[in-house]
Amino acid sequence: MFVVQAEEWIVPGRRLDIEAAHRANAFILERQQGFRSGRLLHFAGGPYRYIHESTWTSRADWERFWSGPDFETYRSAVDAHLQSPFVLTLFDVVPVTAI
Amino acid sequence: MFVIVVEIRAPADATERVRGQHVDYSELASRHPGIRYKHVMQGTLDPTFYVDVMVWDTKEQSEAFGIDPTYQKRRPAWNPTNRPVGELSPINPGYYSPVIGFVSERPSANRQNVIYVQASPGKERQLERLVREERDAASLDPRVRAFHLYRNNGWPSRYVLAIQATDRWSEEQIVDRLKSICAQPPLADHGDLIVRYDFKEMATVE
Repeated sequence: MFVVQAEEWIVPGRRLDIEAAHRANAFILERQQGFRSGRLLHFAGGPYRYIHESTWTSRADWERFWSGPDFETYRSAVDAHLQSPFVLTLFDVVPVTAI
Repeated sequence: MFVIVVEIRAPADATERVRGQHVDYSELASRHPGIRYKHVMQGTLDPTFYVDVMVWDTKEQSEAFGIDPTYQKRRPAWNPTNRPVGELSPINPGYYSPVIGFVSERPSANRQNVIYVQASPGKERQLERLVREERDAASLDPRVRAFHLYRNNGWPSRYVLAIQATDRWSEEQIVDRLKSICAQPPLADHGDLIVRYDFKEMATVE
């Protein structure tokens, strides 16, 4: 499995907007091949930092989304509320515990 | 209780105007449900530098103020200091919970020290014990009016130590004691800060 984190720094005052943008465009992720789950994390230490985390079956599934038009659509909905472009970090999942 | 610490950098040619805006903004905050305490401090070595500390009953009430349209309209006049994530100083604004503190009955002292502290991994309890000792000593010191340790809600090894005292008190002893258990030297580079606006009293916190 493969995990993608997007670090987002919002424009002050846009907290409700960024959360609404992710909710409104979640359907784009849900229709992607290999998409397993997504969640939005709000940093507890300050108001402007978010991490959007998505889990994929494979890196190839993520890259297919990343290089397609749906990514541009998702991105443009979120970008409007950010101070600067979000930064992506990518992870391979290492099994540690079984839930 | 919920604490917000904000660093603000005023344009060099507008420090007095920004001071006035702080008063307006503080009076707006003072009318908002849930605000307990607020004070604004200006650097003595660098008058473009301000630190604003707000204490709220709940995070939700502080966030409601943060998206208040009147506040949002006034916000663009300021320029928050931008420090990169990962530096010792908190992200700006930072969200904190009070850990240790007191406010004495002594007359208001207009000098404040704000010290950013990061405990070495696993040393957080030791740091808090040490600060508690310093707090006990400070409570007997006539030069110290208020003393608070706040822990960052997102980075639990990161703290802000805020001490309100008269001119003759120095933070050197506390900083020296903290150095041995900190990941890096405590950051107290703001010089003395003058309290410019202060309202309400914050309750003693244990």
